[in-house]
Amino acid sequence: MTDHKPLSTTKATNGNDLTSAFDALMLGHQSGLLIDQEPIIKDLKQQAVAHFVAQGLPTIKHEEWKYTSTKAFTALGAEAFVPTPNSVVPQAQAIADYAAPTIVLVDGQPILNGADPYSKLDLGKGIRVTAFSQTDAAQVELVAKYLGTLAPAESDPFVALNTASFQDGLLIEASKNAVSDAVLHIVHQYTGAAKLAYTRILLVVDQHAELKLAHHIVGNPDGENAAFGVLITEAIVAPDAILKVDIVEEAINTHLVTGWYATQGDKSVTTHSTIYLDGPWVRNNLNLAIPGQYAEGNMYGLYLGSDRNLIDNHTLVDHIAPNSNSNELYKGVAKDRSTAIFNGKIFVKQAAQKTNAFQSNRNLILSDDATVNTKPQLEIFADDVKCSHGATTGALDEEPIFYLRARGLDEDQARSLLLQAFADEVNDYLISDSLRAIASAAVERFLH
Amino acid sequence: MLSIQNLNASIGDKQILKGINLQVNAGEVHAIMGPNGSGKSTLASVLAGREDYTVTDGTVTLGGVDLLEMAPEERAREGVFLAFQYPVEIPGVSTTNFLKSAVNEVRKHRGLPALDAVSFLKMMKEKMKLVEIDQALLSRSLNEGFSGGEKKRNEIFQMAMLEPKLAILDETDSGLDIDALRIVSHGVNSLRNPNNAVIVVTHYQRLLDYIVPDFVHVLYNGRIVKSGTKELALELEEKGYDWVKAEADALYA
Ligand SMILES: Nc1ncnc2c1ncn2[C@@H]1O[C@H](COP(=O)(O)OP(=O)(O)OP(=O)(O)O)[C@@H](O)[C@H]1O
Ligand SMILES: [Mg+2]
Repeated sequence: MTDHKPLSTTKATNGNDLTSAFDALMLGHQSGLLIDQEPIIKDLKQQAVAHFVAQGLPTIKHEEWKYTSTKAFTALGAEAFVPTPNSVVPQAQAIADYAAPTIVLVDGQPILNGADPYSKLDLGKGIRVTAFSQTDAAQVELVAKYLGTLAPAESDPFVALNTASFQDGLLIEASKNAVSDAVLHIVHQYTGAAKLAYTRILLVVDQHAELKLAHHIVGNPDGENAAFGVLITEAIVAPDAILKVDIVEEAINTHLVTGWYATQGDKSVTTHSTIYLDGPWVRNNLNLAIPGQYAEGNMYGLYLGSDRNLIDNHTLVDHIAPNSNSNELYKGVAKDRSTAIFNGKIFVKQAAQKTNAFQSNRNLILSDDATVNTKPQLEIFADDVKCSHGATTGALDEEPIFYLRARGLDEDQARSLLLQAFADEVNDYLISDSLRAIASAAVERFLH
Repeated sequence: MLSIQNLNASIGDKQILKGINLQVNAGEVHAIMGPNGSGKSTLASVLAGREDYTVTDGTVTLGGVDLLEMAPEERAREGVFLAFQYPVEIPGVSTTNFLKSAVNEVRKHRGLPALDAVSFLKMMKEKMKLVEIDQALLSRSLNEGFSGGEKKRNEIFQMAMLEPKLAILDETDSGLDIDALRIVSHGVNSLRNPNNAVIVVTHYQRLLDYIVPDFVHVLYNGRIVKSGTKELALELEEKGYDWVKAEADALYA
């Protein structure tokens, strides 16, 4: 991106002075970033600023944020809310070898060497990745058509912040009948240089296409700065299309808010597998809207809470039309002084007869100081539906431990084996072999 | 080999074993019979080291070493094997999955090198043949959806793999069809040698037709109230327990 006007900044009189933050955001918004030039986007961003100003950052008085304090964000002060231009984006650090096509985003920004650098990725015919800043006229139209249609800036302040402030981002298209040859890996680094970093991704999966993505959110493992990332993805999944997404979070030294929003056409299938392994504070929002019939939405999650880390998973599936299914399995383990939150909403609208919706949340608590809060939330307005939900929280069963010890395994080995089995039920859904190996290794390390 | 003296054990406030004395020598098979709820599985569990029970009195040694001081896994490595009356389901963990670690832990304890994957597989194949068990079953989650007979057969397969000094089979015959009973018994018999011993807990004579005991004991109300040779089992089959109970009740009233 080019030609940034210098940014004005506003001094925060104190860290909690959000009024200053709003001012800063306004000023940042007027900074003339490239994507802002598209009138529709410009509009969207202007509205998003207003939405953020109207909402402010959520506090624990907010029902949806009851257990998840955003104080660390407030404490950043107003300056952090001024979007930082792209020029500060450093080169990508060395990252794991995924044995698959890989894109690195640093503070949400693609690293662009030359025009259309992603055309060289071996993604399969009809799969195309383009930085927002390099979109052609037809693509700009696509972005303008869909961006902001799923992620609700008016009711989620972090979406508002992201929408108002993101600069570059990724458009990923799977054209009609396209099939992913390989899983596209996207590595997310947050450096803390841009205090609040915004990642924005738009997926457009056309009819009968299949798109496979694997996100590895590594945060800021080497950096000293605490980083703050707000990652928003919107996915338009056309009839008969398939979208599979892995999300593996090891957001070291990073406060992370993620939002995954998808809308599904007839007979489409989406699968999101969200695996949290590490990071001090994360809030994941996964929202599926299913206006299509005979569609299927799968949501799998695993979280391994340790230290004083906080992991908050909020999921929502909205069944709008008849005959669709959703399956949800979230499993968690909490040790040390960690806190895990699961909130699973299932909405079945009046027209959505013959919906099948299943939800299960199972938690293991391994220490007295760890906390798990789980809340299923079903709102069903159709009468001919099958919905079930269940939540359990407890320690590892003693019977299997005794059985394995009676066979010669020591207690540690027995626990570790049982934990691995517990976690594998979710990890097995990961489509990325390398991310599955990373998750599996983390489970093995977890008890030691 | 196994020497149990005045073993008393309780769970909570409830005393279940009230002074068990039992001597099992290498090469022997002992059958323990007795009415439901008399304490047979409790005895088996206490020998295996289940921590729910408190041993309030008595001693148990295996080959001269104190068993009661050991953790369950140490007992297993010393050569104690319990075939459970009700084998637990473990979702996500298959027999193959844990058995390699188990076998190698036992080998380590005996000063043997760990088996590599190939040798382990070879051993598996051999023992699978012995108890006529399917590979597919061993790859499934342990006991999840297994039939009653499959569970028991799997227990004996594990016994074959671990080559214990003292095997305690707690009602391994229940749930087995006639063919399976023969196969499992054949498996147990072919594992017998002059250096190991077997305790079979059973309600039925028919198992003892295949695994012929040297001694038969009746456990009743936490005590061994009668011991004899294999003829005792036949007598019990014919007459039931009432006469033994009456004798014991008179004695311990
Ligand atoms: N956890 C427990 N809490 C309370 N009582 C128990 C517990 N476990 C065993 N008991 C009691 O101890 C007694 C002996 O039980 P045990 O299972 O050893 O009997 P058993 O001889 O194996 O019977 P069966 O032939 O039916 O298998 C029973 O009265 C049983 O209810
Ligand atoms: Mg019993």
